[in-house]
This record gives sequence, C-alpha cells and structure tokens, in this order.
Amino acid sequence: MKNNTKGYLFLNRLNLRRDRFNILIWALALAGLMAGVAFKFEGIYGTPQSIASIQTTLHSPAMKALFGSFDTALNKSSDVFATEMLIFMAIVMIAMNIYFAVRITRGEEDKGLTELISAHAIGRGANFYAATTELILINLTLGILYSVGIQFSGMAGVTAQGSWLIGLGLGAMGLLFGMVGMLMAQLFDNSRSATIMSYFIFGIMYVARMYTDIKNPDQTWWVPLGWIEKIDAFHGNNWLPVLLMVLLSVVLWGLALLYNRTRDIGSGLITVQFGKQRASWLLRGPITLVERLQRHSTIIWIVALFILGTTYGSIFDTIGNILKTNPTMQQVFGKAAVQSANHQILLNFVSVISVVMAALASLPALIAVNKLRGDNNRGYLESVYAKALSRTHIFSGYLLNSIVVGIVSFAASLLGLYLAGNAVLTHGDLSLNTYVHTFVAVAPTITIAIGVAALLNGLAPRLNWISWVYLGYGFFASYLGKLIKMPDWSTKLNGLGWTNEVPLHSVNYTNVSVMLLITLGLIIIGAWGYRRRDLD
Amino acid sequence: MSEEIVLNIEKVQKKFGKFEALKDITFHVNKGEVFGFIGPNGAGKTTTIRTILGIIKASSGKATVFGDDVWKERVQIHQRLAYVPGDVYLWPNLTGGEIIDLFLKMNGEKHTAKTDELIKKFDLDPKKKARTYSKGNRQKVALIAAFSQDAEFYIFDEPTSGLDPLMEEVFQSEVLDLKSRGKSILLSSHILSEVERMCDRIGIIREGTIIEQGTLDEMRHLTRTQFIVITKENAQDVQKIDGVHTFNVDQSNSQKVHFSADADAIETIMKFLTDKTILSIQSTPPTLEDLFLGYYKQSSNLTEVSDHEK
Repeated sequence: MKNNTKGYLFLNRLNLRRDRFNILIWALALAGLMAGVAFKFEGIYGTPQSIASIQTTLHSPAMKALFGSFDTALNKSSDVFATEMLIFMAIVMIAMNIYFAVRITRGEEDKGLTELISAHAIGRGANFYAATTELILINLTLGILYSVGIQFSGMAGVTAQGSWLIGLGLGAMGLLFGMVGMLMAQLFDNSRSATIMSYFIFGIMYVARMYTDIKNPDQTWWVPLGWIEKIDAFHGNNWLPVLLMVLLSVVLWGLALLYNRTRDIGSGLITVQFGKQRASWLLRGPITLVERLQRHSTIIWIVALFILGTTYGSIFDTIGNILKTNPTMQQVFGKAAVQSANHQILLNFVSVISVVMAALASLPALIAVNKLRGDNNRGYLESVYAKALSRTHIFSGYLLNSIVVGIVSFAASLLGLYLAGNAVLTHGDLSLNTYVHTFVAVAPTITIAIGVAALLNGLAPRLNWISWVYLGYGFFASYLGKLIKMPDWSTKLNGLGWTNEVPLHSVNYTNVSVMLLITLGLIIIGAWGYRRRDLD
Repeated sequence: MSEEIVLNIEKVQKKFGKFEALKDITFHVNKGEVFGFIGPNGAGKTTTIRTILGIIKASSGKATVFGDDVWKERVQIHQRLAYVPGDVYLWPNLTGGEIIDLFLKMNGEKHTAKTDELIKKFDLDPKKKARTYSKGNRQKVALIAAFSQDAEFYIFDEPTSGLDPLMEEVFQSEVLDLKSRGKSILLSSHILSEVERMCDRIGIIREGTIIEQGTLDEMRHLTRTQFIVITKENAQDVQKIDGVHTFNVDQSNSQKVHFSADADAIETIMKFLTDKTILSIQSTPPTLEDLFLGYYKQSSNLTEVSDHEK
C-alpha cells in the first residue's frame, strides 16, 4: 500500500501547480457569480411586493422545470435565493467538475503524460489519489467561498447555518459529479467519451428531476441531482441531502478506484480494437472524415435532445391544465377562456425551454468547430495539410459537421416536444407550424454561436475558448436573466436574447435575417483568416 | 525556372515573433535525385519542410516546387507530392487501413495492388484501430500511403525514427525504387548511415541556416582523410607539410605515424612518404558523421573534425 501511494504528495503539488490558473479562473468566475447574485438579490427581492410579483412566475411549470420545485413560502429575498439559485449553481458546479475530473485523469493519460510519470518512482495509485485530492480541494474551496459570500450578502433572513448548508451542499454536489467524471474516465479509454458519458448521466438526472418536480416533487428524492432542492436552507436546514451526496461520492470513488487498480494505463474497460480493413466509399475527404469521426457523438446528441424534447412534451397535460390548480376558473371565465389561457401557458413553456434546448444544441456544435484546433494540436491534421485540399475545404469539414449537429439536434428536440406534447394533450394540440416557427426564430442563435467559434478558430485559434464564454453567457442570461432581473440590453448581448419569445409572440423575420447575416459574416472572416495564417 | 529543378529555395527566413527559426535557407532539389537534409534536433528541418508544404508562410525569401510558389499554389503542388511527417499522429478511432485509403483519396488516388503489397512488406495490420498502434506502426501507415501514391516529389521527415532495423531496410529499398523510377526525394534525417547510403546530395542545416550543401564527394573534400602509415625511414617530418593535422607518433613504434590530411595536400604527402619507403598504409575516407559532428560542434575550424575513425 505504501508503494502504491509513493509520490502522492509530489504529484499533488505538481497537479495543483499545473492547474492553478484554470482553478483560479473557475473559482473566481463561479464564486463571483454566486456572490454577485446574492448581493443583488436584496435589491431585487427586498420587498414583499417584488417577491409576490415573481411568485406566480416561479410556480409556473416552465420555471419548475428550470429551477426545481419547492415548498418553502417565499417571504424574504433569502428564500428566493435559497430555492431558485440551487439548480443553476449545481449545473455550473457539475460542468466544472466534469471538466476537471476527466481532464486530470483520462486527459493526462490521452496525452501520454501518465505513462511518463508512471515510469518514475511514483506509486501506481498516486495519480488517482492526487486527482481525488485536487477535486476535493476545488469543491471545498468553492463551497467555503459560496458560504462566506452568502453569509455576508446582506440578504434578509440569512443565517450562518443556512449559508454553509447551501455552500457545502453545492460543493458536495460538485464532488459527486467529479466522482462520476472520474468513474467514466476509468471506464472509457479516451477523454471525449468519458466527458460525453458524464454529461449523459447528468442529462438523465436533470430530465428525471424536472419530470418529478412537475409531476410529484416527493419523488425527486430518487434523483441525486434533485437532493440539492431538498436542503431547505434558512428554514428546516436539512443536512441529510449533503450527507447522501458525500456517501454516494464515496461509493462512486470506490468503484473508480477498483477499475483503476485492475486496468492497464492507457486502456479502459470499454475499448474497441478492430475495425474495417478498407475505407468505405463514403470516407473520402475532410467533410466525410469529420462526419465519420463525429458520427457517434452526433447521433448521441441528436437522440439525447430528442429524448429531452419528449420528456418536456410528456408533461404538457400537467402544464396545460389550469383547472387543476384553479377549478373555479371555468365557471367564472367560461370554457373558451380557460382553453385559451391553457394555450398561452403552453406557448410560454415552449418559448422558454426552446431557448434552453438551443443552448444545449450549441454545445456539440461548438465542440465540433473547436475540434479544428484540437485536431491540429494533436497532430492529426499534419498529413492532411500536405494533401491536395484547399484550406477552405478542410475548414468547411468541421464547420458543416457543426452546423448539422447543432441544427439537427435542436430540430430533434422540437420534434420530440411536438410528438410527445400532442400525444398527452387531450385537446388544444399545438400545431406543427408552432414548432416550425419556433425553429425558424431560435435556430439562428445556434448558427451565430457557430459563427463566433468559426471566426476564432480561423483567426486566432488560441482564443477559441471565448466561444465557450459566449455560449455560457447566453445560457446564464436566458436561464437566470428574468429571475435576477438583468437589464434588457445585457440579455441582448447574445443571440439567445433575440428570439422574440416565439411561439408566444410571432417570428421577427428582421431578427432572423440579421442573425443569419451575422453568422455568414463571421464564417467568411473566419475562413479568410484560416486561409492566410500559419497552421501551427 | 528549369524543368530539372523540383524544389528551389532561396534565402528563406521564418520568424515566430522575435524568434528566428529559419535565418537563411537556400538549396534546391533536382529532378530524379535524393536530397539528404541533415541537422541536429531543433535546427529547423521540420520548419523548412512545413514552409515547403505551405503549412506556414515564409517571412521572406522565395520557395517554389515545380516552379510554383509554395504558399500560393499549395493545392496544385500537393497534387503531385507525397509527404510523411516526422511525428505521425492518427485519429484513434479509424483503422490503419481506413486512414491509408483516406490519404490516397484525398489526393485523388486509389488503393491499388501496390498498396496491398506495401501493407504486407511493412507488416502492418490494417484492421487495427490507430489508438492501438505504436509510433512505428503509425509511421508505417503514413509511409504506405506515401509510397503507394504516384507522386513526383516525396518528402520524408525523419521517416525511420520509430521503425525497427528490418523496416528501415524496407524503407530504404522503397526509396531506392522511387529513385530508379526517376522520382525526386527530400529526406530529412539525423540517421547518417541512412543518408549516406541513399542520398545523391546533402544539405546541412544548423540553427536555421544551410551551412553546407553538395554531393557527398564534394563534401568529403571539405574534410580530411585519416592516415596510419609505417615507413622504413623516419617520416615524422610529414607534419611540416601544409594540410597535415592532428599528427602524432605511435607510442610503441616510432616508425608508425597517425595524422589527418586535407584533400588537396594528399599528393604532396604521398610523394614525401614514398621517399621514406612505405611499409604499410591505411587511409580512411571521412564519413558523413565526421562532417556532421564537425558542424554539430558549432565549429567552422576544421581542426576539430572528429578523428574517431583512427
């Protein structure tokens, strides 16, 4: 055992040193975000009237789907904060943890660095333990920063215990998904698959908790991601969910350790060794090459977004049934008015979640464009550069794949919504046209994000991370914008702010055309830059 | 531009920010010849090749392949060119066979009987995914694709660094086969025996500058032949002849002398020694290694040319 951990402390220092800027940026961004929102909340929800104004919105199904379902009566600003911010912050924590967990384990192995280290007097398990420690440290630090930030935010009703419950709860949730990432990194033999599978597990949990939150919040206990909704901070202060998260983390960690100890370096539990002897006639140039390389992940994204769409659609009967919550309404307003109100609620729901789905569909699209730099840096393209192919051709291979996966997976999510929604609705179906309009209005936001990434990869590939900032900001603004009352102009800094809330409102064709023109412009400048720069 | 010159590089410079990776690269490759491009790691071999391929743009100077500018006409040039990078990295999810076919198709060529023959010769399992390949196997994939391509100009960047000696043999015989068919080849390497065996002409690069080029024979004039001579009469005065260097007398036999000699002094030396009645003489022509090591030690002073062959 002693041999197994030899060099652990050394590796630990080395890893922390290596990741220090990365950790610092994530920590500053997340803690800053959390504290910023917390400090702003008293101003937004300081009066009972302001809370009352958002109360109905928060109890709408669309908001429950996004933020979760809570029993807490919303009296003070801290109550709004302690409920509605949890799911969003958990998502951000999870994204960070999957990023770090896969990067510092399988990512290092992909690069061959683990092998290099193992050749030295470093114990077999030292790497694994060092990675675990790094994740614990990151989450603990952030948890403490959150706690302190909330405690001193000046929101009415804040208690020390509640602040630490939220902070450490989010830290524990982060750690839980850090362990999911580590386990996946053991099972799969490349970091891309490990990341995709980690997100897949997150996606299933997200959809499951959304489903139970709307149908029956008690069942949310069955979904680990939903545990964060159950902490009841500033009131009941329930630490059980945090304990559960830590316990589950330990179990996942144990499983990961088990695989780590039995497998060879560089291998995974799930590996494919053999394939075709000859290339199919389809595999013949950059476009079909990227399509082939990305085929599995493209299909996974399309199917996943279709499933997400059907899940959202399957709760349409619950959403579009005002009579359930307000039985006297029909007597007062008449049947037609009730049906029209139901219809409006559904349209609102579609307009909100189609933006979320567009942001999700932008993920694989950005991954695909940014792969241009990734493949270059891994040296895969070196031989391709010497072939009789124009750079525009190579560039368009990645771009085309990106557009296809982004647009098709978004369309698939709307199709899922359409099919499942109409299947469960007994009357007042939403027509296919409604969804076509939604698609027309929202899809250009995806292409703009692709355009931003194309521009960066063409002109200044080292800055292509900015495309993630662009998407992250858009996601943040469209997810939380209304809740934290972001000014109108700030939500319009991103394509997602220009959808005109279709299908609640009608398509604004000027916006659509301008967005498409911007996309085209960005792509053209990107391709121009790609043709004339050094490929290094 | 003469039809006989395939690659022509004149005064090419490349700067990365302030760093001058290439300071003065001037050389050419004639049609039908194997040109050896040698130099230590980091001297600028790969940077030069990437410039020739139009992957990076020269900061100044002129580079043409088949008479066309390497940057502006890169696509047309690549049509007639085959290239094997020094470090071959392949998409882990594709098999070797798929990648070979893909590389061929990207240049408008097809998988032929020649391809199958090469796969057999290089002993590659084309059904395996690239992630399972070693460095040598990845190199084989790129080599097979290049050799089965019907190009006019082949560029190999340290092609044998991951191959075992058996495969090195296969590589060399394939290169000689290309040569016999009148193809032009640029072979970058620091494996000197390889260059010596195959190359008609060589260029030596050091710190971004081509410091020497020519045929191996021409180059040998620049360095010295090693002599070990036993004479009947005392021949120690040979050290007084201009062009004799590193002279010393054998410790056990005062009639036995060791020295190295410049090419143009050999005639005088031989006349002098003949007068002293030669009993035994050994001469060793300089190898590329001597040349290379001489330059590698950053010396323009020929007295430091290695005499390890003694």
